[in-house]
Amino acid sequence: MKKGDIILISAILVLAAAVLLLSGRSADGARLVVTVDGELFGSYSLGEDREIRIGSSNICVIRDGEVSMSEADCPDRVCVRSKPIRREGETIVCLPNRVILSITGEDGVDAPDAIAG
Amino acid sequence: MTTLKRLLHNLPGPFFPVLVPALLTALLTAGCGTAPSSARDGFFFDTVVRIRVNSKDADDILDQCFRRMGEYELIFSTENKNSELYRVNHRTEQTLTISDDLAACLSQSLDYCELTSGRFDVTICPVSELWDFHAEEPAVPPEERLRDALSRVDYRTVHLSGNTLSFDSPDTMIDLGAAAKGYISRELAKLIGDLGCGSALISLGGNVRAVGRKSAGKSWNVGIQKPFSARGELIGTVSAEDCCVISSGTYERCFVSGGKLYHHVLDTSTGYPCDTWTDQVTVIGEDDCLCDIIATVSLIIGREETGKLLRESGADVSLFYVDGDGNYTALDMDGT
Repeated sequence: MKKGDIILISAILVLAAAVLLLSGRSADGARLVVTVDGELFGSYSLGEDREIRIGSSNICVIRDGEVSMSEADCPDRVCVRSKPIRREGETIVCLPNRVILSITGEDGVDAPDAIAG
Repeated sequence: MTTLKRLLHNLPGPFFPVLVPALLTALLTAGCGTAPSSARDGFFFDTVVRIRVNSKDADDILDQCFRRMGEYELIFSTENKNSELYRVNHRTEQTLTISDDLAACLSQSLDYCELTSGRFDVTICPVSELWDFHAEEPAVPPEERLRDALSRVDYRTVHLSGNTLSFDSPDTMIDLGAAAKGYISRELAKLIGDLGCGSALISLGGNVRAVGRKSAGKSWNVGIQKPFSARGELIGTVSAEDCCVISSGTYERCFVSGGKLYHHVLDTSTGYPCDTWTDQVTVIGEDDCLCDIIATVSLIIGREETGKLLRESGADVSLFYVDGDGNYTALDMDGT
């Protein structure tokens, strides 16, 4: 095998590995995406604990990589009673205020892709 | 990139034409099986809709799905004054020509009114209108008004032949709440398939429809909401592939008054919520509209009757329910 062949093969291997790594994971892991009435309100890293005021109607909290709705002025308060979310595809919905919290980014190992019921 | 440049720089000239196609192949293979995934949320029918599509044309497919959903809202909504169903319910003539979509969904619903001898009835609308589960302080409607409304409920006074719909009585009203969402997810799944996409997931207010698989070796994973628990708390999960997963239960659209639970599945003989045999049923099958109808029908008619109905109608579905111990159990089709 010539020296050139070895370099060629190595180059392909290195690049393929790099492409696989880059396409397999997002740059900064899972993120919280907040939308109001279908419009993007904001996108936040789950890595940093914080409180997010969503207009005057809802407040959500990121703590220890989990997101929950801490306050809402809607009558049913289904969103506040929702289980905290952290895995890709999980959502919390405040239907009356049309607020959706969803997790994007890293694919959860066995998180459900949707929930029936 | 520095490494790449250095590698290319160090390469002997003749290898270059070989290297470029080889690298391209490596790039393409790495991207294969992970078609770009795109999800979009929207609000229709007083509920939230989320569609996730794995396709390079995801944006275009989602545009078409959401446009179609807007069209369906203008057909099936009972509240939107511009909808076809609203016009049917507030008609002046007793014979009308209706759209293919409305006719198809109504026809499938009427079959089950017949099969259950009216224990499931699409003309429940005047009664269901009296129950406002979204009110800030929901209240039990007065018995007299429920009785009045009940006198207008009888599917046998509705006649559908092709696209011609006729009513015996001017005050009969139709509610397709138990079938429309299923009909829509089924048609959206068809649309997505027709657009050449083989991997998508539709969630329409708790009705889930899987198109194909999530990825090459992986089915879609659908969680089942645990009744009377925090949203997102699951009783189990099912793997779904080219089928719908539809759950219906007494924990949705309900309120408690005087220590008693009032839910949205109404008894067509009393006008009050019916005594259900379980808190939740989940129906899995290929026809979303059928599964949606069967979920409601099953809550009304009970376990044994459900088994009998499924056997006799030959409906190709599986049905799961939550038993008294909170376990998730498949219905034995013998109804035992």
